Amino acid sequence: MKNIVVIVVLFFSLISRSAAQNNNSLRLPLKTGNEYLDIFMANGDNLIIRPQHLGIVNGMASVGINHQYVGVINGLFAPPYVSTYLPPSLTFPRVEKYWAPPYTCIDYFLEPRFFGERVKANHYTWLPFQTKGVGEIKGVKVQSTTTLIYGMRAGVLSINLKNLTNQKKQIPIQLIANDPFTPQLTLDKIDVWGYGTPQSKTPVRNVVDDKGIMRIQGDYAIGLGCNLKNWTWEELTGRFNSMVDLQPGEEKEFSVVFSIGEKKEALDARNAILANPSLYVSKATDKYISEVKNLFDKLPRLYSDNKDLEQIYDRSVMILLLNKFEIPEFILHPYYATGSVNGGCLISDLWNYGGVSEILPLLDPKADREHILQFIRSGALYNGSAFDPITGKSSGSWNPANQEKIINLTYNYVKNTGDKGFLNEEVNGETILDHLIKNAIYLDDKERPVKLIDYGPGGAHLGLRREFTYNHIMPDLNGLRYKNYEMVSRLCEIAVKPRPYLMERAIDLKKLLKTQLWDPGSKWFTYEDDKGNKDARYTVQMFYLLNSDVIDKEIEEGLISHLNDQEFFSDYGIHSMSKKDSAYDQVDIDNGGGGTCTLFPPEISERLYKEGDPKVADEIMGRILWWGRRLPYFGESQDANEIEYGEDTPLQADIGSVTVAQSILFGMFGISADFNGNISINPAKTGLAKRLQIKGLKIRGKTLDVSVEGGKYEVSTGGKTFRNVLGTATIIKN
Amino acid sequence: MKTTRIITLIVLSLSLLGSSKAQNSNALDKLPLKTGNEYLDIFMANGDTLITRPQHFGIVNGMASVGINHEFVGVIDGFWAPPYVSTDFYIEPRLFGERIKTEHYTWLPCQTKRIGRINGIVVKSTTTLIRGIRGGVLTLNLKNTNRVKIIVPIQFIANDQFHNQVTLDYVRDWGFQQPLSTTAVKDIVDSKGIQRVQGEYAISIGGDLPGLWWEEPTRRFHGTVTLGPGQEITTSLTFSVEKAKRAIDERDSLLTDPLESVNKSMQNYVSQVKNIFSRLPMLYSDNKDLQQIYNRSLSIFITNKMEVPEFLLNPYYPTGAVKGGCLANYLYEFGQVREILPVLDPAANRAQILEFLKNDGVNKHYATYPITGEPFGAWYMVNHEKITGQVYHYLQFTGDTGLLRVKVKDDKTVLDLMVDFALFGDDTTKPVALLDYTKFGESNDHLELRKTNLGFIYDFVVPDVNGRRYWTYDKVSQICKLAGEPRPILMQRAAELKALLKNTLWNPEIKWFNFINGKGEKDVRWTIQMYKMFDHGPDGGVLDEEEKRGLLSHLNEDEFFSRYGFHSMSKKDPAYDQVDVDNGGGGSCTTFAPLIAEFLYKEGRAQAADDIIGRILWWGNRLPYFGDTQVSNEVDYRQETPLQSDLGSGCLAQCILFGIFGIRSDFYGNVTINPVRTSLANRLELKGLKIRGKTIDIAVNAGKYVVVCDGKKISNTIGTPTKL
Repeated sequence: MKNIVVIVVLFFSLISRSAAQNNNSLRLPLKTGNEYLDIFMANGDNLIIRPQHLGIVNGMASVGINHQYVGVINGLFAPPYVSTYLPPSLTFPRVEKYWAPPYTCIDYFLEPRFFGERVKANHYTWLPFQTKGVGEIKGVKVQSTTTLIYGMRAGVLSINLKNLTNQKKQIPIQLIANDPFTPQLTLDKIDVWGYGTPQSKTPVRNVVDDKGIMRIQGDYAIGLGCNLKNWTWEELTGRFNSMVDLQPGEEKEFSVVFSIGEKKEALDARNAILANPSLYVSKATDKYISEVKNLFDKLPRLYSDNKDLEQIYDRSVMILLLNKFEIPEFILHPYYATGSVNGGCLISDLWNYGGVSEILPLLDPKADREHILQFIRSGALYNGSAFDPITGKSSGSWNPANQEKIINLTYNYVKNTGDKGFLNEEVNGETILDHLIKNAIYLDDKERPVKLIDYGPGGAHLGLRREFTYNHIMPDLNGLRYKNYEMVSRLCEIAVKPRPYLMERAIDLKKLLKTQLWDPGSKWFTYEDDKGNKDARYTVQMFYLLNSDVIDKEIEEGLISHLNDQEFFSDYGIHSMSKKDSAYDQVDIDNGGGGTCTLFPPEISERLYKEGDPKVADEIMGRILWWGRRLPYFGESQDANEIEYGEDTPLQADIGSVTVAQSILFGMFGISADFNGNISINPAKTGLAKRLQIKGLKIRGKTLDVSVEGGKYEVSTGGKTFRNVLGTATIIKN
Repeated sequence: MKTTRIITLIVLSLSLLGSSKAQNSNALDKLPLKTGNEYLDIFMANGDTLITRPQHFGIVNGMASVGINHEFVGVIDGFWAPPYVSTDFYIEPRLFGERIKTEHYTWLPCQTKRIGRINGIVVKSTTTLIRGIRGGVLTLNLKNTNRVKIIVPIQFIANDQFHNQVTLDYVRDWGFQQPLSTTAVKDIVDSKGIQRVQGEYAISIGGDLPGLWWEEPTRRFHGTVTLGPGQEITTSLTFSVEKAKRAIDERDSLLTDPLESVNKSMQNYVSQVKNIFSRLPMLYSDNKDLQQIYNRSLSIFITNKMEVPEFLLNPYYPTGAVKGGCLANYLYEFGQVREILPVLDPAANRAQILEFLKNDGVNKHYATYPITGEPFGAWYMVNHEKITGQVYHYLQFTGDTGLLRVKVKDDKTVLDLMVDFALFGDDTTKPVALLDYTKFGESNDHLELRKTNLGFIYDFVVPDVNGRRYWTYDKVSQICKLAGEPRPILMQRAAELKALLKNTLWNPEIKWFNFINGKGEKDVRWTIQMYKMFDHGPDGGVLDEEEKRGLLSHLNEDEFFSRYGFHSMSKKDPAYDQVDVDNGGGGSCTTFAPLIAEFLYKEGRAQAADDIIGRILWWGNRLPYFGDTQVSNEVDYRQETPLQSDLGSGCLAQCILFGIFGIRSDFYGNVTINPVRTSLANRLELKGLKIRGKTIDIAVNAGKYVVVCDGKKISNTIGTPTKL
């Protein structure tokens, strides 16, 4: 009897193990054992991103990934080349779109089909340069790995097939290389990359060779090769056909290689990779790991009992890897683009770039310096809002926030690096300091008493979609001038070229702002049109005046009183417009109401942490902690009353989203450097976590670890440990 | 003894394990596919097997259609209820701020169910369009599978994420495209929900969740549900569109007992299905794919049967139905169900024939609008063949010869018009000639090739359309004899045409027909249309044996066949265009493969016909309804068309009944049964065919078949017809 029981137990164990194995076989690992490989890995089960917004990037190219099906690629963007595909529908595993600046192929499309079908993805994972998908069809497990190869405008789609049945399988395979709506692929070299996703329109000519096909357009080409045996290219149907036989339990792998560029470059890259695709994938993985190591060699790791906080920090920091381009045709090396995924918004927009002001000097001071110089050099400060990555020229129309952004960028660059010499560097015939002074008093007549600036009738500041206005004499923009005066005044002192009138004007401005626009009844600022009529617009922008001396306690308390669930808060974020404002527009997410630009909540919370109001700051941060788990990268805006993001924008990976990490480091941990290299650490009393720790913060030549727990914290640097209670700053002298 | 015990234990363990597994996987994740009611289940589609994209998915109730985004539980997207349309109508339930990913869904013509889970709450939605009104019910069932009490915040978002304001319009002319609404509504909150008013019309939405409240700026309902461990609740949202007061009344009426409204509606649905099978037979076979495609093909007569007071005809069988796509009646599509519709709904068939004849719908246009009956569009060169087919088969299956004497236009009877159509373009004072179809006013391009801009045409003197004139001569000649007014000239000209076609256009070298282009030069286009000339049966026709063999020699995998279908253009033709699915190459119009297969079955070429039908059997399991075109080298369908539920797809069942089972009726009510020797199934059975007053069952097995007609049993071997 004992034997019987043993047999039954064994039998059960075998059965359940096999069931578990079957179940697990359609899941992808989320841990590899290499912490740097795993840290930015996103689990498809958690992600809410739509297939048309998912993509991968390798610093030279981006392809769109339709995560609903195994292996589908659509659109290739490889600056200056582009081959794009705008899907009217959603599919998976495809590699979709190919953006490899300066090349673009919008209708680039690769869709593996087995038994004539796309394979629904049961699970997928995402890394910045690689996605994996797995599914099953007719008892065959299909797993795809799509990898962009570092240093090349090229990639590999590897397909692994495993027969899960007890019967031999003959699997007809198709690799469809044209999307279902375009008879011929297009490819173009694009010299100016703007806000939108660049479109290709010139058809290619297919030339079949022994390794695959070359899709040629003038001097450029997309190479496509396959190491599957016995493939045939069917020109009229635009696909490779082949057949794979699998014995029971047997598995086989094959790869499809794609490249884009000058004809020879594309051909050579394809052939080189095709000779050993797994080697190239392995090298790309190594390179990716080294990029992640580099990131955390310069920026600290965050550890906390609040895993959502950890996750959002990591996800936020990752944007500095994702949006870092090294493209020969680009004017800057490296170049940090405003967007990256699927070729969206490859310009450098000053507004979004302004979000990196504190953190980028720690990570890549040289690049930060070059970007600041290029903004000034391009003339974008007065005539545009961005510069183009290839020409370096200014683009877009003037953004009234330009002046604040460039001043803030430079101020933090000098403060966090100590590179005071930068202020004396000449650009366009003037020193940086002179440029900053010019920006501080832009539209201001310093010969006359200070005035509130009338920014005119345009609605660009909020870009509201409906009939409601917010223009002319706007309180937030005028209020921000105070900090501009203040920061430039300080930089003048640092450069030993003081300009006392700057702070004099700042003080006058403060008085004027309150007298002219503050409405104590509504506890809000009004704005004023050119006829002197006043109106109120309950925009989130007003909170940018927090942590500035331009407002007094009454105003600060007044503004904060509106941060409640009836006005600016919802369960999942802060609204850009109060729900009580008649201009509220659910659809107009970034500034119109439904949510906010991604930068707003972390930037405002950082101000509140710095202001010493961690409770309200926590209220904001606590509402957005879902971002880190639910999105692989953060686009330009997020919803506030739904777990959702702004879909109708090409900017799905916004450089400015690093402000989340910035808020944690400089707000929650209260890290601050002064111009003399002294470091102050003053963690806030946050309710978001019981335990917080950063390890490996490198700032002004020092390496610091900070641990916060139970109302106390300790700072370790240079072998010394400083202990303090929350609320008391620790100063590490230079 | 020991071994027996061990085996018993293992079997018991296995059985326990199996049942536990089944419980785990079915209890929450899967919706039932069988209800025990055969009529409720027969058209049910299992979401796991469907390939229809969310944007093409919808339900219909004879008065209205809503779009269903099957990726998420409960999402409704678009509302088409002729004459009203709200393209941005939207309902999206969110729990904890999130949409709920669908783990499983099922589809019925008027109802979908979806199931998913979030934070331990199993969420099941049932969306039902209520029979007899332009409205519906969205029911949500929430079950807490956690061991703790959960407070569930619920939102019902009522504007999609790209539209600040919903729009609503009254649209008179419903054509090919889905109509688009553009006029914004004004929201008025009342005690039961909201009214979204636009002029005289309104969409009303209401909910029965206690404490549900409407937040106007964010355009959504908010509510909260508290669920104890294991507890479940059901709540409903009702919606309707009508003139303002009626919309409110209907919403309120639905709200009084939404579940009862859904129940009644489903009973009505069951009676609709019963009605179909009281007139058309059930098919049973060991080939379940064949059974499935037959049933799926018949379900088009539910989805595309509309009873809208504002429509000219009631019932009305539009060309399309789902999501308001192609609610016009295209003669081309109507012509494809020429045998089956007179058996199912002879009165509606007759009314629609007369409507086409009344309004120049044949010689000048291709379709009619449902509200006004006005014709629109250019004419199709196959119009004459289509209307002839409709009249011919209507007469065969109903015996209603009175139709021929109905005066429809300019004092002309139906019979007169039939003769006119047969002789269209034909100068009977001269020898018969091949027609150049560019010379008869603005006709729609026969193939509408997208590569025409690259110089690939098929126009002017085209063989297939000319060849099909033979069929028209023949059928009209038979109709004239039936009416006692024979026209011998028709068959004389048919015979001349046959000879002329061969002499002028047949190319024995390539075993294919040429066409003559605008310069008078011969050219070749390898189009599937050529096989339509097989439409004649074994009694002859426009093709001789050499031509038939020649054409059939191209039915191979290098030319017209791929693994999953029949290409509309040979893969060897440089005009082949993968993207131009319907006639350009990538696939073919849904009706082509079954129609050609039926012609071949009737022709006695069952092997070739099986080769076609065998390739498309996947359709039935993978699509809830068939749109205008299917892909041939992929398991896929044409996406870029609003016609996603094509009336013409009824011709699949038609092919099985009249092709595979060889059912015929002559004008006098004599019925013949002559099943073909098909390799598609070992066993085939039809039960309850009702034709010309007879009720017939047919069972085919192992080279023999049995016909039971009105209780009388007749056995025969395959190949020998049974005459009743």
